[in-house]
Amino acid sequence: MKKRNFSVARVALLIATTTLAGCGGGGSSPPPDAVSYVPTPTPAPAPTPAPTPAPTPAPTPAPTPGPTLTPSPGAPTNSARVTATLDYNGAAAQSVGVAVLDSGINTSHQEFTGNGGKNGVGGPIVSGGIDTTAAMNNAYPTITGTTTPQDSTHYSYVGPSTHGNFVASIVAGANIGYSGNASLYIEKITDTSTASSATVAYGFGDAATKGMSFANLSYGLDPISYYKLLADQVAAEQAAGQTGINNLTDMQYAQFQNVINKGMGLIVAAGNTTLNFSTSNNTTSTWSTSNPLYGQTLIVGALDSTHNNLASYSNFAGDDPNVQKRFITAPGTNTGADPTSNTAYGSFSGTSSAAPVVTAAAATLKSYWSFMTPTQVDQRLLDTADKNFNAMWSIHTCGASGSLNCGNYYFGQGRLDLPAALAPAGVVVTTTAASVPAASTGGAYANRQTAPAQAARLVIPAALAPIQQQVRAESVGIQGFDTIGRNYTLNIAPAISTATDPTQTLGYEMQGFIDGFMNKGQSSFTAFENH
Amino acid sequence: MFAVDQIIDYNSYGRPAMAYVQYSANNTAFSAFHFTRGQSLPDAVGADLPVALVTFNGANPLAGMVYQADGVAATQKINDIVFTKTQIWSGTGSAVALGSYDRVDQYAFALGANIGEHVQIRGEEIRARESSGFLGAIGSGGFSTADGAAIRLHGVSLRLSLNAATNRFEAFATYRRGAAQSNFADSILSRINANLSQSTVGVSWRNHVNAVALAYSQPLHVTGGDLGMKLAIGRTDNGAVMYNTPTVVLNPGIRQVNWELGMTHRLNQNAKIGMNLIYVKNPANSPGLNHDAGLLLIYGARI
Repeated sequence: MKKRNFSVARVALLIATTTLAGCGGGGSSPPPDAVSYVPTPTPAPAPTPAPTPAPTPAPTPAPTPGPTLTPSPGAPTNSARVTATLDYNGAAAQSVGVAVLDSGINTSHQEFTGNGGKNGVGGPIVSGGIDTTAAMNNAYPTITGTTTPQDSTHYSYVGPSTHGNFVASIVAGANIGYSGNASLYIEKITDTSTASSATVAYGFGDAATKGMSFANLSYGLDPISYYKLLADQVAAEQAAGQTGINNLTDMQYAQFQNVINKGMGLIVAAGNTTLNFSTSNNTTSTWSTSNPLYGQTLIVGALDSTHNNLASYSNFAGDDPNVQKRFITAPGTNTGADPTSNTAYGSFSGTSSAAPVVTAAAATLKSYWSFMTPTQVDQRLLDTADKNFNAMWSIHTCGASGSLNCGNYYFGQGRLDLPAALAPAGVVVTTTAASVPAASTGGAYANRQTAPAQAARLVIPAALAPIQQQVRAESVGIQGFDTIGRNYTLNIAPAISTATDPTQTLGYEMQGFIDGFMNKGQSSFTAFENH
Repeated sequence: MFAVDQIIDYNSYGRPAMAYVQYSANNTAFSAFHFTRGQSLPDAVGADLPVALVTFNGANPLAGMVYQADGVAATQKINDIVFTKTQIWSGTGSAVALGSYDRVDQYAFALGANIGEHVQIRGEEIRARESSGFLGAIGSGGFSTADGAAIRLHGVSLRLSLNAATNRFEAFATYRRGAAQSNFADSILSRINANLSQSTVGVSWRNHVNAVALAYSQPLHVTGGDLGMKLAIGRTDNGAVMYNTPTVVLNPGIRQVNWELGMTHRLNQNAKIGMNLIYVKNPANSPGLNHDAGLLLIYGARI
């Protein structure tokens, strides 16, 4: 009986609510969408962020989100939208499934119905969705904490809340979506500004089951810490001989295990309370590289409208180097779809707005190289994040120790740089090997690549000049591979050349006559031959 | 009874361009030699005729690419008619413009017969190996390769000679054909199979004062064959690389033909005059040219 009471107490601990992360305002339960966006009154030219060249070190980001009124036309765009139309083998790129765990969407908005409801590569902008809470209740009707099973009419993922509509549209909207390759699956986890962490966990697990590559959570939940908490509790239960799914803790743990097994990437907003993410989540006791979710999770901070400084409201990475290594920043103010009308738009600020930008980038990367796992995609985004936009990286006075690099302290790995992530890692060379490696084994692969000098330079005798054209023609489309095994089309035609031998020219030959002219006798000798 | 003969030619820098030392006794002769680019050895049929200012890749068809080479040879007289000759040399140099250091090792065996006093005929087999090039030896710019090449030639040569007083008349012809093959594990150029051919016909006359030679030759060249490529065209999700393996036919694009006329006249022990006239059709080393010609008049005096 003691064990049971203990278990219940922990369950109560583990179903705390999670709050909107991107609505710009502080507080644990801000009114949904009240501060985070501004509706668009009249059509006008699309917004154009004006970067500020001179970065300003700001050891302590000041609060105040400062939402910006952005008049926008009926169908504006976000300037960095990318659609990868071809995949890594030159075939048509496929859609990448992205789950949006949020407050639902207005499925009739033109951002979800535009272009015939198809994304840039012909897949559905919205492939489906569920009311996550209802689905969880139906899946686990007997577990304490769930409610009466509900019929399918309650499975609608249509939500009146603006938050989910903005987030989803920034990922994959027909016009303003940052990725033309993402296909959304809506996990409507709440109707309000808060969501049950159990619902979030179920939503993650359901998205993984549905085959989603990434899940965007613009709500304030640290999944790594939370998983650690769940895992410790389940371990305690198992140590006590308790097996199976008996409570919400077990259920959530199972859902996260499903996420881990499926390898789905989690992209989570850092929060808008100007907090040190490390200390506010006590990550030193929960985050470690051995945490199975560690490599699958990105935490996203928000940049201000200049894209050069951390937004005043954004939580920042903080002291924990493990957090810094999984923290990335992205523009925190973006144009989003306002669900109040099917053609309405507004400016949406917060880490809730930044996270879908990163999610969209991940989908684009995954669409081009579908063999990349979400973990590899996440790592590539981190590895290529821009560190040159702010002088913080030259300052080493941050953190509790007063000696941490301020760039890592505030921006983690830096500013999302999708072009850099799409660019080759290291030198691209073609290969004759049977296989190229997974992204994590680039070092071993290097020895098996064709050396660039051999692969990229081919000399053909001048006497066979017509062969040069044939070889060039055959080489069109040859693929090279970067150090993490991603392929790129090479143009090696300029390196296929012909060569002559200058020592075989008439002038050289005659020079030989001159050199030896006086030394040539009038006879030679042979052995045993008739002469 | 034995004899030792030697020849040393120097270039204009005073360095040995060719050195040949032969020891002969009874029915066997051994020689050791050193030669540089453009210098042929003295005792081969179809040898260059520097004495008459005529040169071509007749005697050593693969020697055109080396900067310098060293070797040994042995000649064995089987009887009054039949003789054999074995020659091994190894040369180093760069296949010009290929940027790679190349070594050519050649082994040649010839079986010859002296028919009467005026006719010599022989067949030969030549094996060669290039370390890092392919047909750089043919003197028209070789293939760059990731590995070397094996070359095999076989041929026949005929020489007619007549000595009258101090005059020596000679007519000669050589014909060689063969193949060069390579397989490269680590190159997009995965394989080359080239058919090769070379031929020379010439006449010469010399005495103690004058030398005249006329030669028609086709330098060693590609007459056909093909090359294989291994081109990565993509990969699978699990990392297996997909390849396209096209074959490109080696069409003989340019077949060079040389006409060469040379003569020298010794004025006295210390002075000579010479003339060389070369006409080249389809010069392989001058892409775009259909014809090339040169005329050299030279006067030399030793002080």
